[in-house]
Amino acid sequence: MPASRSQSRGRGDLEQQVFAALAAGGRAMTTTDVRDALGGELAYTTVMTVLARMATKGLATRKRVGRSYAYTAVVDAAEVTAHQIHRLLDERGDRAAVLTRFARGLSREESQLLVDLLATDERAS
Amino acid sequence: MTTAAALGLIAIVGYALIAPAASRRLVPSVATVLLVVGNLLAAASGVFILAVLAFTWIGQFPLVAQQGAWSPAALRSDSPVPAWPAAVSGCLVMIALGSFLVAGLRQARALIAVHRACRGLRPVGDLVVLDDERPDAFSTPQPAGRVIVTSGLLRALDHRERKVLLAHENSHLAHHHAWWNLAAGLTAAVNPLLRPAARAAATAAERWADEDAARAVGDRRLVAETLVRVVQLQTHFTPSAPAAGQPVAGATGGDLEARVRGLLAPPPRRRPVLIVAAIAVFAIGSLPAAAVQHTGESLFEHAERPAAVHHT
Repeated sequence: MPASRSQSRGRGDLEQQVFAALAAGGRAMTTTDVRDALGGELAYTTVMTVLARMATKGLATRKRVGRSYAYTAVVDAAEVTAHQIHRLLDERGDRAAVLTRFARGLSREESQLLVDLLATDERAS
Repeated sequence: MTTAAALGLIAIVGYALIAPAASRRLVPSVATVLLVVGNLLAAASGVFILAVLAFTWIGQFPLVAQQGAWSPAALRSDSPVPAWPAAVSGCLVMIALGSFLVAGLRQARALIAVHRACRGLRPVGDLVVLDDERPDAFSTPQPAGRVIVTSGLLRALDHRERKVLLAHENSHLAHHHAWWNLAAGLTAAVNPLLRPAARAAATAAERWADEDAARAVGDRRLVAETLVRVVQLQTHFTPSAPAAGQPVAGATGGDLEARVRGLLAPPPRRRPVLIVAAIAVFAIGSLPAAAVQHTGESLFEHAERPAAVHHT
């Protein structure tokens, strides 16, 4: 059981990465484009399969370019949602506690302190 | 009884002072769990001890004593707790319970608001990309938890940084970090002394996700760099960044400096001795509350009216 779960988890991760790359591109991308945007570590056919599945699910649109397809991510332009969630994030204290945020903006000085931390570490090593 | 109560309250204050620093020596996943459990114990035993103290006074009101089986006069002469500390305890219990209710209701409302906002979204795996310039990434609580990333942030990152980001947020979902944070936030609402420990719990949960991301990409420094890059993007996107001194837990990303330092340091080692020590401290710290309960009970038994009028 754990093996199959981790396998499906792995496929979900791959799908996320492909989708994130496509969304980051913000334009129509061929399989080769997406593969390059992912660092070129994945097999062409793997990327192609994931893209094709996304198109079938309606998560990406595709149009023919020469002999292959160019894909565009269907990104949620849910402005109401974005507004609602950003309002939650902006509220301080326990209302925002329901979301775990990757990072938050700091004052310029605090933010510079983090950059310095990285720089000192690089010099030390 | 007063000694036990005093010891119990001292144990809570001691925990509140020591826990944040001590937790930094633990593996982040262990630290998160121990801090949340410790906070729950401390918050509960604090309210319990104060409630028992308060009841030695409330029990002296004839109306209340009538309901119980004791004599108000006997209780007054037996009680080792003077009236005014007992009355103050009662007020503190009311304030704590009120604050718990308010915080709980607000969080429940926020949970519903987030759930509603995400209902219309179509996730890929659990990922939702929002078409938004503001660079931001966060995850929403399970069940049906989502990783939400703005297109603005995705565009600003390269493929390795995106991998870090997704691994970090997926770790939050896999380990239900939002719920640990919520629990910690509620304990801080009950007892403001526990705020630093609740903040430490939120930071430990972020560190936990950072360590998971580091394992996923096999590069600790890359995670630190990604973190700092995202902070920079956000700082420069909103010139009026929030001032220092953020509130409890919250969607703040934890203590960022502690996270970067943690990632630049070698991977944390498991310290079984420290874990056992922490559990022993929790057990010893709960003894005074148990003693208060025991002596409180015998106090009321002693003041019991001889006539067996009760139990009808």
